[in-house]
Amino acid sequence: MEVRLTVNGTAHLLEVDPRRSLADALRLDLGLTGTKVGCNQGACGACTVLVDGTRVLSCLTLVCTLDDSEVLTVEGLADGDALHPLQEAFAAHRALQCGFCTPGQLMAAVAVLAEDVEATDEAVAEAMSGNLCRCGAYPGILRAIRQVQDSEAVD
Amino acid sequence: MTMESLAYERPATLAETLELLGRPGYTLLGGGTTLVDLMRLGVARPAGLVDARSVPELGGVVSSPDEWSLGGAVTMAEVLRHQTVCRELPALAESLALAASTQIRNMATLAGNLMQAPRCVFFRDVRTPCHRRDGGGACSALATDIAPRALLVDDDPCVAPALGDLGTAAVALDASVETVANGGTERMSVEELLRVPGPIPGNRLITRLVVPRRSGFSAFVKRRDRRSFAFGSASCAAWAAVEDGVVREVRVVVGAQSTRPRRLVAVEREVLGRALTTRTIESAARHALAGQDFRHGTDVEGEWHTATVRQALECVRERSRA
Repeated sequence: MEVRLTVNGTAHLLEVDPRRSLADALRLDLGLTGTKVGCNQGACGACTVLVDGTRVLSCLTLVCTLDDSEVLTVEGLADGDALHPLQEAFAAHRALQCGFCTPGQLMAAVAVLAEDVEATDEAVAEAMSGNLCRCGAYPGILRAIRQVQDSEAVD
Repeated sequence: MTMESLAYERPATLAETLELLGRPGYTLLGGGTTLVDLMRLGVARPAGLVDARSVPELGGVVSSPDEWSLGGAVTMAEVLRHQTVCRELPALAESLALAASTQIRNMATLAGNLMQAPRCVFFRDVRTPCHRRDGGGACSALATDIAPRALLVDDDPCVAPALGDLGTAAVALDASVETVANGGTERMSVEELLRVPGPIPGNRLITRLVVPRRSGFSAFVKRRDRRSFAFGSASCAAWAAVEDGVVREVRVVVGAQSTRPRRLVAVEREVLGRALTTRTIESAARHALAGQDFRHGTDVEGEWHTATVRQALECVRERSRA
């Protein structure tokens, strides 16, 4: 069946099997391999993307349900060579080691800012609890998000 | 996924939805957080998916003087954004906020949450016998020590814990569901809905979760191995009507150490007609395991279970004094 999907601002017309997940459609049909599949069952959050502005798990989303939707993936964060403030902060605060969970962490973090989560370590940690990091980079991830939160508050 | 093919339909009306659900092998798709997972495991093998999330009768959070009516397709996140519901029904809000992750709450529907499948590893593995999944046969959980088993079982055929927090809170709040089939609309209590595991008899569709608006205080407490994003190892929801400091009506419901949301009548009896003092709560908590034979648990699980009952009552007390 046909699905009209806008991904990172670009419109696509996909021919998909109803069993196709959004994660697989992004990675295999559109070559956008930034989004990762970790557990493929909703437990790790590595596949997190934004659909119509809301963070969801792309491994449990069937792409056939997204006709006329807009998707934002990690590839859509930077503006040309200019990194997103969260990407800058992740690099500065050592918020990654192997990098596998990082796209999902970034997309969840983008959503945390948009959701106006309270600017405290506790609230941000809770808001990010759906994203696991086996390398244990949580302290850096938290510092990075808090830094961007605090700098946005000043602005 | 092991189905040879899968159809996908997106009905715009309730009538279309019911017609589609009448087709052999067609099942309702909510947020997909249970169903897509089970399809991938080969546990669910539908022929078609009915995505009814745009059907008006399944949406919206509607208030009337006597009740809140929450659409079956409303997401957990949508309810949590509704400040009035959260203020009036803290047990409901807490049961949603303490469940899953933000991403899952953005996807998962209320009806799907109520009807969630068990997490038992044997239910989820088609290679191992599971009478609940297969409609007969053995229970692999009883034959091994691997899968968590509920403490409070009675004669329930399946010993898998009822890990759905919303169901536990809904029973404490005396909530009901409205269901439709081609014969019309019916209401049943959530307690009745969840009494027997499995699909709703008659393949009825949950359209609304209805929660009474009554003067009272509620709380939901959950104990788990991680601070967040984990099912409970014990949970309790409590609601009480308190007048002049005395409990006039009370409902105490446990979830994660039970096979279904279960009212603890012995606990309720201890607090009814009394003030919620520390002594009363302690005495009530000692009845949390009344009548249970520890067939499937240990002292530790018993302690967790009792502690959540105590904490839920303490929370209700604090709220009644605020």
